[in-house]
Amino acid sequence: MNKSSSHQFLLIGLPSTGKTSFLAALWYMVNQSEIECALSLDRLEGESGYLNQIRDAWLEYKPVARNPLDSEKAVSMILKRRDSSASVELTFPDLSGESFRLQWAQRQFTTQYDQRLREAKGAILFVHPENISKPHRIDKLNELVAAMGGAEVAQQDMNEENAEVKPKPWNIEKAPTQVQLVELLQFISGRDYFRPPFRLAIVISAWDLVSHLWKNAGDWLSSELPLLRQFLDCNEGLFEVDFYGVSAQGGRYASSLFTAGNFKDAKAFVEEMSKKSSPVSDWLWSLFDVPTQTILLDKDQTQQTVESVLIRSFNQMMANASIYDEDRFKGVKLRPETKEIMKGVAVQMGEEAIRLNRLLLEDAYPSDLTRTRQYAEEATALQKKKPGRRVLLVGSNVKNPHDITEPVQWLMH
Amino acid sequence: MTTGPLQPNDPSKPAAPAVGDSTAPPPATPTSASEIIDLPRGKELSESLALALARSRPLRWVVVAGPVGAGKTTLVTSLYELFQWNRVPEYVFAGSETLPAFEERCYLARTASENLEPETGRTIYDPIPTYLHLRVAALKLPRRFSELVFTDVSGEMFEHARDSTAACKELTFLRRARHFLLLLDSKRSLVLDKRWAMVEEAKALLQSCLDSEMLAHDCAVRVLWSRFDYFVQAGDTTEHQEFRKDVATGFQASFGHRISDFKFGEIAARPTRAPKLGFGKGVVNLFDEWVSDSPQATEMNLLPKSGGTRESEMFGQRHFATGEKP
Repeated sequence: MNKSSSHQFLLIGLPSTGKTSFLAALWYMVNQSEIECALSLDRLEGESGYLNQIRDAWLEYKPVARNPLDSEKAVSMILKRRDSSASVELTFPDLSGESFRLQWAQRQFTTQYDQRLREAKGAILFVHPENISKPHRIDKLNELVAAMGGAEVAQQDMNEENAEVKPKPWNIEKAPTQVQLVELLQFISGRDYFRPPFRLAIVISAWDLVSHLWKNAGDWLSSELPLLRQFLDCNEGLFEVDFYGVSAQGGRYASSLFTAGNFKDAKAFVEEMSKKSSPVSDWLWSLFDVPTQTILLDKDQTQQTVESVLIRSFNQMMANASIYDEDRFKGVKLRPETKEIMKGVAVQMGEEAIRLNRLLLEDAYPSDLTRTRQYAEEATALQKKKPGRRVLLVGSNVKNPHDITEPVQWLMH
Repeated sequence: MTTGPLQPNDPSKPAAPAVGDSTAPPPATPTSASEIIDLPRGKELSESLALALARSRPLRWVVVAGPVGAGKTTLVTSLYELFQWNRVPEYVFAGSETLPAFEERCYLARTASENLEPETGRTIYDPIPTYLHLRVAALKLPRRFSELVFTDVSGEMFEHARDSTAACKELTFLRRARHFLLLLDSKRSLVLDKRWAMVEEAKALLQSCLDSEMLAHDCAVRVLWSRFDYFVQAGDTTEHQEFRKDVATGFQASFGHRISDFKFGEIAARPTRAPKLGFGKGVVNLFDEWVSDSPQATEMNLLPKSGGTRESEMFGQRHFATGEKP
């Protein structure tokens, strides 16, 4: 058996930036033979249950369950180089996005992360183009409103409402994405064991969502996160960087969040809910505060307004946790698909919980809610692709646009 | 020492929460305390942290002085905001030891606050000064960094220094200043029965700084009409221009012979009254001055550069880890 050289790389990124999806697609791609990847599986060794679990979700076009803070895993793969057959052991601590958010907000590392950082030969930094917060200024917004002819209205609104408007308190967690990412990198470069240059593959995930606007990931970063780009450009002595646009999922999955049209008759739905004729209705109605209940029951409100309130409230509620409770759903006939998901272990948070909650609500209100899903057509088109063709990469050093191991190869060089 | 809380300039508006108290309740700590490593907090630098930073690298100290509400913090945060959008010609953002502190100060001018009009929280008086830090690099020389340290102190501190040379001598940061900015509030300049008193207060402060020998001979002094958009909004009449000319002549007569590098200027860091001036009007010109001179490593008799490690952070880690507050 060949002796493996070993490399440990960190996957860095704020919550919901595509780290686990990347890992799931990577595990599939190194195992398949349809696409010739530069790295392929050499042999199984040790635990691969978690990798199989996230790969299966990826193959079933289900959102890969978010990695909770308390179950962070380090996954290992023993791969071989296609060009030399040399064996390589890759280890990726699959750290939750939450842990990186806490680094910024609470100004703390875990000793475990510190140890992994010490051992890491590089990192992949993930950014999701639809999940960034920008430092928008009020003066700029007001200028835009004025340019659109709304100056007088805006000023009038300001005069009337200014005394009543209280700014929301500052919350460090809501700081712009680019600021948080710069700080995460400053934390890394500030460690006493840090030895520059540290290799950093910047991955813009879900690249398919922005590929029609941008030719390469570096340009996207310059435009959307300019502070981070400036920081990277002038700190090349600290961080050696390469940019990738990676579509690991291949496209959008059907969304379980409610959208316009999902309530067949929003006002009738509210009426039924407000009668509290079932435990589910009783519980749902209690979730609305009194002013919202008043708006919902106001006969002068349009269907559109009532529906938008329901959509916003239900989507917020569904994202929190599973809404299933035996007493609450007593008497509701659950379809097999719902029961199947409820057997899963990772339905307490994230996308899986949203999916389960949507099914539960549909089961509770079979004649009031449609079962159509946003992005359903895109999802069907995606399912017609061969799995290996789902992955797509762009980058100046990318040789094979379907080879998801490209950023890893660059880190290894 | 307590950190300086911020409040909106307008007393009729709700007060912003105090620095350090204004974050949402921290989420549950992921692991036990023994498994935690404290990181630099990123708040405004205390005197000791700023000096620790100065020992590790040459710094450019910029003192921003002026009365309460003149726009001292807005001047500094506007530069940070310009870097957020890559709007500083020829220079790029290279880092900061005080990112959360900048963020908190910018917050009330951001849409995320849901404020209707942009504001800057007022810096509450604290007898112990604090500082904000920015590292920048020239585009043409990306690895040559300039480290800027700005005072982040309240107008009250300068009022005390104006009224007493003894109080002025306590402002030891003045000795380190390579750039001393004295702000004259344009808004107050438009109030006929207030403006000359405002000018005399500013002159008295400069006089106190010079007489107490707190400003170095090569310190560049800039007297700036801050919030200049108020003049523009008022039409910037001949009378306004003559007033400013008279003020400049008076300053020149009083201090021109005592200061080697002495100029007047105009800034509108956030010109909400005259948006056409453009965000950060005049700030980039000042910035160019700050980064074009040589930093004070030798003059300040500072220790040699340590080789690029983040000394101030390690200083912070050592002290924060043990609960000691530098």
